[in-house]
Amino acid sequence: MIKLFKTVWNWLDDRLGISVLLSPMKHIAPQDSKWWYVFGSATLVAFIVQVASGVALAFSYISSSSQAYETLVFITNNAPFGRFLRGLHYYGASAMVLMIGAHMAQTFLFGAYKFPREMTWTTGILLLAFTLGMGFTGQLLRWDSTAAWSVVVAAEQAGRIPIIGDWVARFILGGNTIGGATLSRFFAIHVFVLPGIMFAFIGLHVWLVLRHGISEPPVAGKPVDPATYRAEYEELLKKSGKPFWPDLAWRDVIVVTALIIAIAVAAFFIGPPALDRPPDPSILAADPRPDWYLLWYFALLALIPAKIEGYVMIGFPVLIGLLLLFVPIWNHKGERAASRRPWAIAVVCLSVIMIGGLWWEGQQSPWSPNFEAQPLSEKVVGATSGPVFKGGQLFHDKGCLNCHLIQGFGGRRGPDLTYIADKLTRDNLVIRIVNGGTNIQFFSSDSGKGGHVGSGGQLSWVFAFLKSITTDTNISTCTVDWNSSTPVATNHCVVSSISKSGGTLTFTRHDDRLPLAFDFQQHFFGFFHRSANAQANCVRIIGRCADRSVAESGGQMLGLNDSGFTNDDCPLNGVAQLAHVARPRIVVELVEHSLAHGGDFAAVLGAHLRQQELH
Amino acid sequence: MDTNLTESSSAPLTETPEEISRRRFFEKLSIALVGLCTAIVGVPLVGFIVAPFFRKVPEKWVTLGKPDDFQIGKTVAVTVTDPSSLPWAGVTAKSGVWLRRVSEDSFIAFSANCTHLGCPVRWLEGADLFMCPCHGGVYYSDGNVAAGPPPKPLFRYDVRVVNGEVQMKQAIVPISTTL
Repeated sequence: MIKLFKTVWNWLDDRLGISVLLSPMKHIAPQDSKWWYVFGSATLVAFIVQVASGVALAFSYISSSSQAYETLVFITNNAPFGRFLRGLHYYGASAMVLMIGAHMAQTFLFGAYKFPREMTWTTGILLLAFTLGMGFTGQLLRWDSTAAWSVVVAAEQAGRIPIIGDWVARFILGGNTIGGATLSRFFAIHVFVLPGIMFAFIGLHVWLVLRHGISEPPVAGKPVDPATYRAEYEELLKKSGKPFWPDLAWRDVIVVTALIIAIAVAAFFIGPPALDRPPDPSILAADPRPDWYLLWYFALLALIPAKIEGYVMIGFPVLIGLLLLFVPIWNHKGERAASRRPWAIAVVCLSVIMIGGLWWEGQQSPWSPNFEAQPLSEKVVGATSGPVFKGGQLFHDKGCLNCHLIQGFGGRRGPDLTYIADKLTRDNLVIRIVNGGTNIQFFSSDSGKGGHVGSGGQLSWVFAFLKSITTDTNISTCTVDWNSSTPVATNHCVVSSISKSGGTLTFTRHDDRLPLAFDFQQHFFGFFHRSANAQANCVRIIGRCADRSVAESGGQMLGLNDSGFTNDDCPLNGVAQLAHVARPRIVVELVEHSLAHGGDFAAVLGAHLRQQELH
Repeated sequence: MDTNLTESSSAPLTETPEEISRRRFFEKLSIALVGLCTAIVGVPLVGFIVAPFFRKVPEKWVTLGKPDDFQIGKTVAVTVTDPSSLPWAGVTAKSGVWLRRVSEDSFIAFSANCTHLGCPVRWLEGADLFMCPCHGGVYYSDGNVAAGPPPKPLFRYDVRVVNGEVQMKQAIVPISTTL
């Protein structure tokens, strides 16, 4: 049996030349080529995974603009192993990008691009470009809303190319707009054109690796001299070279196995990227974003000044591409060791930091408005009627909240306005709102362009709302003798002056920003009279808190002691404790909490709201 | 065997001037024929692929609705179906435009594409603003840029009211071609 098998094998090998075909696997390589040299093999295997999974997906995928989405839904939800295969294809692409990046960084740091391997590097750079092209076109084949709009974004970017921009854009769209011709051309590019080119270039790349040999690990102080390098390399191989298979390849096999397991695990447990809504361009609530490997570029375009954006959009990829392609032309000899090329380490580190940082920013996308911003809660606004309340409502309704944060709620497109009242005077705030400023729209009531904060009343409401939220670090408590004809704060207090007129107590904040006045007698005494507690004749004022934790600690103090309204440490009998924390939401929260026991929520809440109205 | 073939083909030949001339002739003939074959296959192939460059789309007016369908001062999204779409375009034949009724007989149809990078802008009713989700471009209700990176106002389509219908000239994706 074995003899028969050998006979058949020998016949086939003789006729097909299988051994000859596989003989390059046994090429002699430097024996020190160890773990650093596995990334090329890993990239190749990731590509093979892509080809295999892509072919399998093509069995069910229909590259028609009208049907592709449905076939993807079918593949994901119904086809056996469909979800896994989609995941395999996605994470395979991710792995390929990562491995090609690692391979490139290792080659660069080891100076392996130098003589005589310049063209090995160059073909590798082209393969990187093709890989990214595959990644982008592959995302578009995920023919959902994000993909369809990404085509438009790609066309818009291409439109910036001088002279031929409009033609290229129309070519990408497959016409004047997205339609029946759009998807099929990306399918052809992704499935036939780019893979065909990649097969050719991978073949060329591997051929060049065989032709020039795997570079030996660099040795500091041993520069590349084109005149002598080849002879030295041959000598090295004769002296200590090992056949790649199997002496050196086992490391590659281990890493490749780990890579495939990682891809499969991610595909199985995490699954493929979720499909967005159907690719209907009339659905305008779309938020197109590239996959992670191009997200950094998306972020770059968002962060650079608008004036140079067009140039960067076109020029940056071209510049980077040319730099990478020509690196070995102007730096083809000399030291290879990274320890003698600190700039090489710096380039790699800065590239990683830049791409990583931009990717992170792209993930956060702080430049994008938050369309999901909900109206601010009562807790945040701190009032349920009055100017502050109306201002809080307007802040949402007029779109301010889409771009600005208030206490962590809203968007991050513009500055956090939580404490804007601490930074700008009323006049400056009004000027900013009415006239606009750098990168903000104006809200002039007579602009006639929309977006306005209609009447002056609306403006004052927004102002009152913003003014009600400040950082006052004077966390303080003062006690005021209500029975005194001239109330005076007994200790350091947020109020600078207190006056009493009939049943109304008016205090002015020390910084003259938030004068307060309310009918103390009517509301507070009414409440306390009805409660089981003694009559209040003292008001305790707690200064606003700079942060929530401090404010809440005050709240806990009150909350734990609902009798604190009467049994406070006020030296007088019957102490009313008004927690006017300058952040009104805390007040409402505390009062509400206390009143759960006090029994008359409405009365005190009314007092508080009255206070707001009197701002 | 391969080696022998290579050696024989690269071995110096003793040729008469006639043979050289004949060889050069066949060499040039072969190259010309290869070029011809490439052109026969390649020209239609390239033409087919780049046809969208030259595809003339007739300007057609599409109906958006009746004037009474739209309130004065309001901006609404209107779905338009491309009358020139390919039969297999499916939902991609649709597109969205923002239609604003300015007065009794005045309408503005804005392209939904942000002039920055083409993302779909959204209308915020209360704010009277268009906002772009991609890079935060903001436009006023008249389409002018209010904030962010957009280089130009929102593109406006031609709109007319004919026979009791609000019509818009066929939607194309406006491409910003300026750096």
